Amino acid sequence: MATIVSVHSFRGGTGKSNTCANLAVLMARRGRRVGVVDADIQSPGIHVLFGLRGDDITVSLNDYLWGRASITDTARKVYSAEGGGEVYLIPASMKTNEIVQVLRQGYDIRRLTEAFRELTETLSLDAMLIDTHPGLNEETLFSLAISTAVVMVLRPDQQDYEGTGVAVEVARSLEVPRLLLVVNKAPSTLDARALKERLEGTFHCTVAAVLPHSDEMMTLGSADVFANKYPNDPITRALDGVVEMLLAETDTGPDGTA
Amino acid sequence: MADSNSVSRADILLGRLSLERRAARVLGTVEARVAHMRTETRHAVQALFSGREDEFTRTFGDDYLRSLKMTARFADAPRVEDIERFARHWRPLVPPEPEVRAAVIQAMNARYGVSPGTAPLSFESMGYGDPAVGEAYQRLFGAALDAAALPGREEPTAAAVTEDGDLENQALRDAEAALDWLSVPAGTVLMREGDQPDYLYFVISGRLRVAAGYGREQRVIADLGRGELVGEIGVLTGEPRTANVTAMRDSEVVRLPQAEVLRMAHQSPQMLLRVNHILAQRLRVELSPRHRTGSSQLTLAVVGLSPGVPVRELAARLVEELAALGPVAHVSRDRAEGEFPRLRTADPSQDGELLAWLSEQEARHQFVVFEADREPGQWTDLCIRQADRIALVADESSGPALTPAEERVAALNGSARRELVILRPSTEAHPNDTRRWLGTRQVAAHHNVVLAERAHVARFARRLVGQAIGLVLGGGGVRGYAHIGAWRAFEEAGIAVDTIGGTSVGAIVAAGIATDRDAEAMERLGRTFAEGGITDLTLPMVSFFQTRKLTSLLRKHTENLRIEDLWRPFFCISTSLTRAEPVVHSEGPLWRAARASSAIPGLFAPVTGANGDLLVDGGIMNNVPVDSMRAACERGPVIAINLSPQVEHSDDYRLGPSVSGWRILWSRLNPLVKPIQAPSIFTTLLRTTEAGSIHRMRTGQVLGMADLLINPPMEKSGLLDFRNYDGLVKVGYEATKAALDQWLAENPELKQRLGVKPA
Ligand SMILES: Nc1ncnc2c1ncn2[C@@H]1O[C@H](COP(=O)(O)OP(=O)(O)O)[C@@H](O)[C@H]1O
Ligand SMILES: [Mg+2]
Repeated sequence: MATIVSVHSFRGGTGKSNTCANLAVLMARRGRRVGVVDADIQSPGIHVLFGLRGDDITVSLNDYLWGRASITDTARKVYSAEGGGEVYLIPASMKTNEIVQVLRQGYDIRRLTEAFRELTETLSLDAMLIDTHPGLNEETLFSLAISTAVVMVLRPDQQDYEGTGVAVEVARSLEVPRLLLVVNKAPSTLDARALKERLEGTFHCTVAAVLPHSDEMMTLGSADVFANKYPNDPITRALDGVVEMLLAETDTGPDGTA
Repeated sequence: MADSNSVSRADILLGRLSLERRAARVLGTVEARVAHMRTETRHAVQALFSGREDEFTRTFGDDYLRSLKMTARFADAPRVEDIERFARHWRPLVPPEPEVRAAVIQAMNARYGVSPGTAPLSFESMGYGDPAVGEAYQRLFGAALDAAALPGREEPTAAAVTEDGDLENQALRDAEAALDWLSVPAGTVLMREGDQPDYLYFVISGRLRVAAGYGREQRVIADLGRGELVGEIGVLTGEPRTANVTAMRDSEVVRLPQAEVLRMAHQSPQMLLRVNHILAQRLRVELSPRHRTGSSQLTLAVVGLSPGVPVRELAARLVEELAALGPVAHVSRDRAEGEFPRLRTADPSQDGELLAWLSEQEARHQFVVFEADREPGQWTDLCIRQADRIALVADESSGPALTPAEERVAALNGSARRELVILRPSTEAHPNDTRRWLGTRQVAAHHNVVLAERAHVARFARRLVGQAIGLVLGGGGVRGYAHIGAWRAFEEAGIAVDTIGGTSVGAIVAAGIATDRDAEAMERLGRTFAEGGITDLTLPMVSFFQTRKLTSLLRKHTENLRIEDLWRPFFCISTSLTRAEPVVHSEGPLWRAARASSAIPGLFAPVTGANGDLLVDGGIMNNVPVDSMRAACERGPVIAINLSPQVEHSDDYRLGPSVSGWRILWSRLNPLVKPIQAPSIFTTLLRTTEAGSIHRMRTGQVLGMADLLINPPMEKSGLLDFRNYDGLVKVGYEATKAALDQWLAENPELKQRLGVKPA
């Protein structure tokens, strides 16, 4: 069975989309076939990291949800690694009227399960990464409920801490098998080890990485996937560590630290 | 769910969360509907017993809006009894999907503690008992759907606490409980002449027609709309019904049984006073000559007869023009789908929420314009069914044959008034085929419209809602030149005359105006007539020579147009000698109608009518036909110009009983003899012609129907004053200008309605 990973954060702007894209590319580097779903239909954006503009998206997840296209038609290959690993993106529409349509009418989120099943089969995917909408709405809860692992991205900020507390609690009530925290944009002055310990003590789950604030990442401004451009940067290596944890097949039960 | 404030994996995966959200929304809509119905019944009672029916109309929109705002607490939150009482009425608001119904049952039980035992009708409305709903309930909530799963609760809901603080006495409360809410489909007969009285009705929305008489002879007494009462006489006196009452379109009414009315009358003398007051008021209005049967609140549909018709543009322009007359809502499919996106796939006429929204639009606006789709279909059907009046819009190029769209209209809403709009490409030439369009269909009116002409669309709008501005020009021989001066005063005031009619010389001037002449062109035309030699009218015999002259002048200046082809509707009156009755000319050659209308017996030869009747001057029967104009204008302002004074100025005629016309003539022709002062034969014939109708007008029955009656001072200008053309024009101009100025000053609200531009 494929690994389904929701990349989530309680608040926006934490680096969720960047983390998601990097994890996908790094998984592909490890020879995996990966699907990335932009489930942030209200504020899509991950396509930019793979070099696409809104206008380039001719068929989107929206078309599938409204029954206008099959889910495989919406997937496009956005990255391929030397060892045979590939990344397929299922983008969300950037057309105003289609975004508004979702707001007005909602959609049957249960269709997403079928979509994932069909995608993993037809594209023989090993993993599916979901870039979720921040906060808690029904679509997000649904993504969390069907995931085998959730990566919760947060910044070292009191608001993020409090919000993450809520998100972690909800994820637990949804019986998500694995819960990993990724701290992003940590100032260089912060003691990463101490922070990790403190957060693990508070939330009772693994902090998979503490990523420093990076001027290079800032400058890149989502124009490319960081791991592509800076394969040897400490951030890339830390994210690769997260990939390793996610792919570890042995640990599939609920998070042990709880 | 045990704890409604936590979320579980099953909630998400079974979709319970979204179903519960939908159920909560459905419940909110049901509550809003019930609150609305309750507010309405309460207002109906208050209107009836405390004389606040004006407020009923005014406050309704606000109350309804308030009750629709689902987030706010209702001022009048529905009670369990209300929900149960109106269960049949909110049934259409519950979506059909079994899953949603199961969730609604769950939510209703959780919020109100009602069980199938305490609120059987409500549970039926939610689909309790339907096996599919039972299965869905089992799947969602893991329990069988039965009485055990839905425990009743005894304690009153918080909502019911402050109940009825403002209803002071028990009588009102009882009445409210006894009121019955009915949704009546178009065509339903609520009562028939001769029936024993059973209920008193109060209109919440829609249109009821009160008519008396049988079959084709039915006479419309009134069209009732929101806030009006019907059937009160019968229930109080016990006399059989005096009229038929029919729903003209889908309507909502509340009714109170006779026994209840009598009981209340007994308990509350105030109510009897109230009903007396209403009756007195109604009688006063009905007896007034200006009484109007048409309702001021109307729903209109714009329906294209072929796919190429620019329905959307016409509807939008219609809405723009109606805005000058009152609050107007434009309801198109796009707009409705914007409010209710699911309509894209569902039949709108089955959508309870949409229908509630539409009735809200109707309550808050004087006019609701329904824009049909270009193609036939469910939306177009809905528009047709909702309308009091339907504009059937055709493009000239598509030809006059009957279309399937019209058959659909007739089948769906036979009682709506239908009017034909023929879109013409330009005003360069008058249409010439309207007769063929009218020949194949039955419509109450027709409009020749050039879409690019704002004045055309504005006129169409006013006429469609019965608020056309009508001008009536009376007869009066040569004094008719005063009408030409009056026309200048209208032009200066900027009043857009939508429809024009007249008698005799009034018909001749009206014909000139109907062919789109401005004041200057009319003055030129008048001079042509004045100098054209119809002057020597002294010979007491039918003058073939004069007749020919008048005929050729009329033919020349009306360009051989037919009345039905005119941009501006026209009519005139003649008298059928054959049948001794007035004839209204509203079709056929314009010159012939005007010629018949002005055929003063003895001076001009009679005209033979289309059916062979001998037609002469209309002045004999109806010299200032305000009544005919009123029929075409319903509620619109009718302005009439009367040139026939009640008392004619008489020179001190010196003539013995045996004076002969020939002697008078001789005395005039002989320069050596002092002319004998006697009324000319023309004067006498003319006065004779008009005397009957002038006498009748004294009662005010005809002239009293005008909103503004202008009497230019004619006493000083003799009927034979041919050379006084300029003087007559001046008198007409000055009197009309003064009258219009005063009228507009006294009724400033008219300016907008009349299209008068601010100075
Ligand atoms: N470690 C980092 N250091 C500096 N900038 C970062 C870092 N991670 C993300 N960013 C920047 O933060 C912004 C938001 O990132 P994004 O991935 O779009 O967040 P989200 O999807 O959570 O809204 C982007 O401009 C991105 O370049
Ligand atoms: Mg994002």
